[in-house]
Amino acid sequence: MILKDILSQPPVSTVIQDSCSLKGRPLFLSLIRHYSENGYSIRYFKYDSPLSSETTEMEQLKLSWKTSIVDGNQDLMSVENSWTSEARNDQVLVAIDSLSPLLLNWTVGAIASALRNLQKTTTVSVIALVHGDVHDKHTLQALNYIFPCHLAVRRAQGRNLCSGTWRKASGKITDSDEYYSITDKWELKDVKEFIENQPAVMPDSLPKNAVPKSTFKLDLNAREEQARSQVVLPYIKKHNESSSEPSRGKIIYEVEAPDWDDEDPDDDLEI
Amino acid sequence: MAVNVQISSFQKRTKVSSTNIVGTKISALNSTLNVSSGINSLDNIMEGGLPLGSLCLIEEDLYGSYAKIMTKYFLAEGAVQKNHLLSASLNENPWDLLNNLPSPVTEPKETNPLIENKEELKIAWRYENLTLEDNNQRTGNAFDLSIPYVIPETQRSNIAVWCGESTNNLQEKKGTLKNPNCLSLLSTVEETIKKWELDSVNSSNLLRITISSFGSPFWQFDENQNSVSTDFTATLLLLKSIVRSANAVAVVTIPHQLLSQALVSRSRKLADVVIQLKSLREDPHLRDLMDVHGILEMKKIMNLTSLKPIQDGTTTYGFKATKRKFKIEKLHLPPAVEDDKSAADNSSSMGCSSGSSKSNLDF
Repeated sequence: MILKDILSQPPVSTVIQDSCSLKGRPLFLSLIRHYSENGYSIRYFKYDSPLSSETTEMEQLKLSWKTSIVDGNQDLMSVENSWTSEARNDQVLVAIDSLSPLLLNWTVGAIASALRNLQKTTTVSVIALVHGDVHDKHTLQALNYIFPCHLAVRRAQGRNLCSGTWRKASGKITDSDEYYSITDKWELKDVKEFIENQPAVMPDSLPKNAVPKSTFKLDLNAREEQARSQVVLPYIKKHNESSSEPSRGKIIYEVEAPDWDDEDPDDDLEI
Repeated sequence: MAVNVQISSFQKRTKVSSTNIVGTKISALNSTLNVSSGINSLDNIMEGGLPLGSLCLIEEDLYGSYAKIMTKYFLAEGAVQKNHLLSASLNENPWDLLNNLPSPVTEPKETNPLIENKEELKIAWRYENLTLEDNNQRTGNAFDLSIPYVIPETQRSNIAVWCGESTNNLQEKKGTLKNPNCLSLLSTVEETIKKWELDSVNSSNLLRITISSFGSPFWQFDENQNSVSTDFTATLLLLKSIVRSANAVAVVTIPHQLLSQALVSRSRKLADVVIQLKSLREDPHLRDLMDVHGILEMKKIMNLTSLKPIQDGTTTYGFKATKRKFKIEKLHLPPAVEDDKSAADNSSSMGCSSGSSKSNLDF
């Protein structure tokens, strides 16, 4: 249950992937608002040109921001420097809205290195938004590899669904699918687990009378089982009787009447 | 009659002097010097470990957590055997890996328990008084993952790390290798070997090299689209040649899900030993395997000294990773069992049993 737990812990570097069906910005902004209320100062970098609705959202949240347009002629170093110059201490969070323009101009590898260099100077977390429709599968896979927590939001059954994976530092990996909704005040609420509709036909453990698939009847019904338990095994009894003495191999031979034949077998010969 | 004492040209074979390189064992199978990988069960599969001078490729599971455990074991074994270590990683600080190695534990000799419940053995009563035997004899060190190993000070001087080249150092990129990270890594490896004189004949120690997540986005192989594949495979080839000509073993883990299939197959052909890890999360078909955490496949074990292949048939093993141990064992497939739901549908297999199915084909 990622969304439930993520807010109760110190910020984790997260990437939120959205699509045309559902905007990821509300979730992104609600996470940021939560962290800023918990004493982290947010450094917000906006690389998407803001829509008018977004401008009002920003003003509502009292976030100071500056839009910078990135193009391929610029060196990624300058972008990176803008991140590192702001991130001086641990209580700073870098919010990137969004990574898509950066990815269109530079490769995933370059951005990964830039993000990692950011991590080198301070242990600051990065929360980023990325538009899944714009990039290919390989890029998104690489992003999921880089960020310890990645969430994908989409619309399902009329509600907002967030599915994701969180790799904790301890090594534990959690997957989750959750419904969520965002209030007007950018609060995250109604986080409920999303349960698949298909019934899972997976026996958790082997049934007691497990028999391999075959055309023979190998299992026993109750009466047969009872009869089996009452069978006296021959050698068991003898072993119990003689268990007190050391077992020696004893052969009992009863001498029978000697098997002499008085007739001379050579009598048949006619010499 | 005088006895002619002929001095024959055959000389009595003196015993081959036992290896004087720390941390290696001569393999019983083909007389190569094998370096223990740290994991006993893996060594048993590979006849004592990785051959000295080989390049081992580990194809990571998704996100690489189990591959990291295997790397830790490899380094921990080196620390205990007082070998030189070189840890290279771009994903994280290599010192984080080196400070969290499993520590060696001496496991007490377990007196094998007697079979306890005598009533159970109704038919096999002759086995009642025997002890349970452990087929996996422990040869070598055992490690405990939950206790981080504090490497002794004397050993710390034997450790080197490489954590990426600073971007300010722009060298001239002559030659086929263009990727600056690869160039820096290879030159670091060469310098380390020269520093500790591991390429000389009289060297008595070896270098264990681990490269974590080679090929991940941090390595920036996609920087120059023309040279993606050549840089990757050229680096592996050069690493292999360096390692062959010195007393060194290299373990490289690659996130193969992020790389193209062609690149992965080329790397497999290059490397000497290829191990693939697959955790249960990745493949829904594997969910039936209940008692293991994933599958380890020995994709390739190269025999460096002869033409005969080493593998004896099974190449698929399961691995279990608990908080303390990482163990590799034989896979036990669950028996193909009828569940009640499918029983009603599948009339043909229930032909002789009590007629609970409704098909007309019952007899």
